Amino acid sequence: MKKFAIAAALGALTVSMPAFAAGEVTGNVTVNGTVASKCQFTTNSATITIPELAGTDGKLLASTVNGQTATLVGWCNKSASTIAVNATSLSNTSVATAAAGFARVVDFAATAKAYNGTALVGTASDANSADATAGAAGNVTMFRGDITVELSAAATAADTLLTAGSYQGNVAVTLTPAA
Amino acid sequence: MNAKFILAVSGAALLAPAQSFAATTTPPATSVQADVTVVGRVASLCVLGTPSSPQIDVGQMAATSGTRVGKIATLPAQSVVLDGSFCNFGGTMLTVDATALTNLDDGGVAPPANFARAVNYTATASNWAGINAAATTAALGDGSSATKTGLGGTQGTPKLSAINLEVSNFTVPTDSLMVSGRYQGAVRITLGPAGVE
Repeated sequence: MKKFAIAAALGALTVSMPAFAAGEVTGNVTVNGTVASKCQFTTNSATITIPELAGTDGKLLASTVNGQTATLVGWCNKSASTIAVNATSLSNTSVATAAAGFARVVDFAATAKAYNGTALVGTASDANSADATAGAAGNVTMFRGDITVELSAAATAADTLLTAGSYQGNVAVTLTPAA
Repeated sequence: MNAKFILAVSGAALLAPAQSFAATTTPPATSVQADVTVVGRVASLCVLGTPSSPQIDVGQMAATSGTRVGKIATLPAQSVVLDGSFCNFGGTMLTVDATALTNLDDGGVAPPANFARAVNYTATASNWAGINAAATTAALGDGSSATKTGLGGTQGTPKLSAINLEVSNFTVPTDSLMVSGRYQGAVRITLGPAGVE
């Protein structure tokens, strides 16, 4: 019964073929796709360790902070994306308030530079780690590569001694894809 | 019946591409963030400021006339300031080690009866904690047992201060006559963690 049914169907096709030969028709399937504008970090954390912040006079030795670097890795797949930096001051993690004549906070500036391979494609800085806001964002072109973060301009309140203990700060780097 | 069926199919056909289109709409761009943690350390440190004077010269110590001639005169207190002294951590104290003045020129030979070759005094270091560090020497007439130590109170927080050292209350054992010559003593001030000598 099955074989018969198939044969009948083939027969029906054969019979109908001449009708198509009279004029070909074409159907099109359009394939559309999009790639969203994105940025991503493939290395999204790093640590800068400063063994000793103070000099023998007990005051901040700025050279121990300035010039310190760390490297993140990321990419953006569309030009006119942006990079921004928000630095947070180093503060003593065990002392809530500083005694008279002493400081428990070290301010600094931070600069992030994005590279596509070895080519610099964008930069941004935050000159004020004491506020909670990021510095002005900078444009980055399409890139895939290192994002270096460098510290500078370390300072404490004038003529103060640093309170002993452990300190921690942060530099947040934000990549925002182009719209 | 058929007409309605065809319309229904057509409607489905119209809807299907619309749903497909929505599925491929570009989502809104979102920011991504990475963090560089910055850690540092400041070691515990105490520093004594430079003394305002490297030495105290009390001058002529024996009375040269009057009822106390040959015995120690009334000597004024002497002070030295160590400005800019600090510890950058809490729990610190001052220690004073005072050594009596003894005669430099007599070769250390024990003096004859009624004479002494030592001058005692009180050294007090203040302006650090609630309790000053003070030591009163108690050398014997021959100059032995010349050093005494005094501990101050504990300073609970970091402090920057001008520490004041006062040397006063000069006396001679048993108020004896003083052997002539040059005399020298010493005061050592130590600033550091409490409980560590």
